[in-house]
Amino acid sequence: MTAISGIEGIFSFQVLLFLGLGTLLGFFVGVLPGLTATMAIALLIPITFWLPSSAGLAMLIGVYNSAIFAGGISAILINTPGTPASIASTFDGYKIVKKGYVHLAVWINTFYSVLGGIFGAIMLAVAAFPIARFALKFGPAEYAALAVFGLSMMISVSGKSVVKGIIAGFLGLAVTTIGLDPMYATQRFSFGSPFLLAQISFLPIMIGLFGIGEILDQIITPLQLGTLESLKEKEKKKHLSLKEIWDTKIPITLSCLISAFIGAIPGTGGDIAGIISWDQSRRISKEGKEYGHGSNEGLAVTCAANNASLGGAMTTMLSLGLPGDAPTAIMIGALMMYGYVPGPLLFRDHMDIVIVIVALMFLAYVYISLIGFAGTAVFSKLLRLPRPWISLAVFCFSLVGSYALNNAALDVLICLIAGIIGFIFRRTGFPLGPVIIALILGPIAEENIIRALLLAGGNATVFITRPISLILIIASIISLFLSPILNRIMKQKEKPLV
Amino acid sequence: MLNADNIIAIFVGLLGIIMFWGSRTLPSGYMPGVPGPGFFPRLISYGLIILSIILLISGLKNRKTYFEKGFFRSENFKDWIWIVIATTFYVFAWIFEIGTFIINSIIYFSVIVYFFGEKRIPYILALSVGFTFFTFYFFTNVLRILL
Repeated sequence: MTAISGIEGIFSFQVLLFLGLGTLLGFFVGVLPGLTATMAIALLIPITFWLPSSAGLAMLIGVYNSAIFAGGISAILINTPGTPASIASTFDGYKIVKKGYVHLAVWINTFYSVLGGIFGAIMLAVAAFPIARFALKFGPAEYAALAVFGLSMMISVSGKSVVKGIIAGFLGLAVTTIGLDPMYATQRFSFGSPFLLAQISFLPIMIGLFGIGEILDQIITPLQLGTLESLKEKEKKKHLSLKEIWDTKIPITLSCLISAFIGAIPGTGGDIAGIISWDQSRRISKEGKEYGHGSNEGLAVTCAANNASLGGAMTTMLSLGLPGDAPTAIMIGALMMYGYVPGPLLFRDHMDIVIVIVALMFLAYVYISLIGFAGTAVFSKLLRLPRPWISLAVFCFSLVGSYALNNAALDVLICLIAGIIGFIFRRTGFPLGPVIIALILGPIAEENIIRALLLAGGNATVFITRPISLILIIASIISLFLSPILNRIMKQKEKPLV
Repeated sequence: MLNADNIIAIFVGLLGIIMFWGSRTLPSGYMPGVPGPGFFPRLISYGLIILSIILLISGLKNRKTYFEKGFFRSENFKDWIWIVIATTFYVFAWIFEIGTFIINSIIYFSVIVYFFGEKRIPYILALSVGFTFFTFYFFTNVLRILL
């Protein structure tokens, strides 16, 4: 099969049909909390085995891209990320909805997800090898520095009280110490329970904190989207103007670039990419102060980021044969099932399939934009449904989704406990963002700090003698200490001299 | 009137002490300069204790209240309690495999949707039965996850 016949093959009815089916399935999986793209791809592998390679890959790529896009919809509408990649979308998305701009928030998710996804696909098409080579430079010291850099963002997402934010983050870190430790396999705080020994999965906690916690809070303080008149007025703003879109060019480009590189680093993913992009864009943007308070740009940045990271993950998978994230790990298996071995030789021996995959990435976003824009009106009307119905749906899918992750009933209990803690946090002004950041990055930081020091024979200078690690450490120090000091100085300057 | 910051500070401080106590038997390291399995739990416990003291001091200064008078006696809070109790029973029935998913879910969803504010009996029945069967079908037949 030549490159041209590969491209021709994509436009066959069968490929387009399975891409559409995959996109649709990915949408449902992404929108429901607890169901992940990884799970859906794993379930589809036996089905796609019977399909021609281009049709099978079309279905898997459809699921992969669409699930990440759809995760943002539940993050925006019910403050519950459908997938971990959408965690950062809760920082601003739900606050825009609370202001009454439901339609606009859903539109931003679609538009910027498509934009980010296409950016990622372009990166995959034009810079697969340079990005992959950069990603390969990441050793334990760089991973540790990246994790520490990510953890330093606990302060950025703390909101009004930095102390409360750091406490929330430390509580998240405390949870990550339960079970076998990542390096020495020593039991820590597991009390002999096999369930705790295997470490507490972070997804039931995320679903509980955001989904169950939000609904429990709304029982006490029902969500007020405003009067019907004010809502109708706000609903008139259905999308951003061309000028508003143009104004986001710098933060969006930055977040897409950061995310494509982070996505390419094996073992990372849209969740880390979204959080880091949101924080870095906040720093350079004129609208930075609005981030976290319902900023359109803040939401746009996260939506673009998590979709751009997919291109990065695919880059490492295709050019090096290393998975950028969990779904691409399974996709490597799918490619091998069809007789293609991902890695540098794939570009030499099967350029056609590389072109097919890149083209499918683009086409998937055509489908996503169709579903997204056509469905925006429907999604935005979902919040008009009676509150008890929405609450029941969130409870039902949160609890069952938590179980579905590992087929473990104890995960449902973890989800409920996290929900009650999420409720208490909301009532007492503790932010949830730092908990999630700590849960994701805590184990990565611990494992890689120890590994880096072991490899360096206990020499701690390993973190400052490697250039990427040094840059990330400096960025962490700036993020932790200099930014708050500079912010305070700026605030004092702004105070009137009375 | 409750100052929630002080209560949470005490809980966080206690958690820090418990973590420190629990990690005392874990080795700090096996090689000079390389942290062992006990290093990070201890570091986190120090952080929790220090932060709880800071929160306690700022809580005493601010005297901010989060739960207004009558909060725990309000109608909404009673509904909240019932939902949490029902969910706890549902989760424990799941863990100890008491009953089946379909029967437990129909009962549980009926109870919680009532406390969520849906008081019309036909709607309660339709929602609980509908959600149960949709979830059961979707997870077992589409996703192949046994409930």
